Amino acid sequence: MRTFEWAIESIVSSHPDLYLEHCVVMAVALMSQYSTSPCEFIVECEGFDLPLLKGETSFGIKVSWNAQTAVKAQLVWQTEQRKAITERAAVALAALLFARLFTDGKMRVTRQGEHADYWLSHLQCALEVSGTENYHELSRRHREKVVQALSNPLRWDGYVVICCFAKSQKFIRWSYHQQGDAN
Amino acid sequence: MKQRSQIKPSKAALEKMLGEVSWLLSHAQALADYGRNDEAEAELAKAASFEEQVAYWLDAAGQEREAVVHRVSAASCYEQLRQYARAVTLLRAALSSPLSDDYRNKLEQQLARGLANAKKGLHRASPRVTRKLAAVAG
Repeated sequence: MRTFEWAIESIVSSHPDLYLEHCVVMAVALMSQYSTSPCEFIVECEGFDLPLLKGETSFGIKVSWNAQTAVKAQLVWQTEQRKAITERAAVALAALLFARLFTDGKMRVTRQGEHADYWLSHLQCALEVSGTENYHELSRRHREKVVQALSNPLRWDGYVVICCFAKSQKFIRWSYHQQGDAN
Repeated sequence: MKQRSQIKPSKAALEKMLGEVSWLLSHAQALADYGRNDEAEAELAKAASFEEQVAYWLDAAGQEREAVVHRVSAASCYEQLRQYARAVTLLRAALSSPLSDDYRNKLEQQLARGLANAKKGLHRASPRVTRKLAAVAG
């Protein structure tokens, strides 16, 4: 299985249309609970092909961070709730995947009511991202996010990224869904 | 003088504005996460104003569905800033466009919430503001 190693801090310059510094710090806060740098994840892709993988549907990523980020991450637990940290950490990993494996993976955000909607405007796709620390929640969370992604107001197709930061298994389910899939 | 909605921006200018508003929204979210609420609100206010401009530009470019998304985004910012009258006006404008049933339902719920909050605000407002809010709330 192919494995890539990337620095989480790289997402800040890769996504100029998003302020992601705090997501980087929260991702490191969470990953460093379970691992020293780099933290390894298995990524499982569904519904789309990545040219770099040459037909493979899964790959590994080693996500590294620097000492400066590690210091900031230690402070996060004093001020943030665990759920918020997990969600922002998932956004950071999604941003890393799209920056590194897509040429047009630029992310943008709008507000819809009280929550943020992410868009891959150059790919004309909606993006739903979520994080969990419970592996058994992954399937249910994925189903919910698929529905949300496909109910986007532009009726674009959607990508879903669910990141699992479980102690036993760090796993990312990354899927693509077309509007027809909703029926 | 041309109306704001009649001014057609270049694609590059529109892209730049879309990028800026996205950055402001994500920055506001980060500041709110850190409990820096005054700064978050200042960023949200800027984002709301930019989102309105983006919506006008997208309308002018014939991208009505995208314009709705940004109009609703502006409304959502104003709602968070407790500027319910502005939120209501924008949501009404968004609802005048063709929308899917489920999105229309969501916006109608958001509008109902905005109207309820605007009416609550009437009790606290001065008579002059009350008349203005009452006109918007219909």
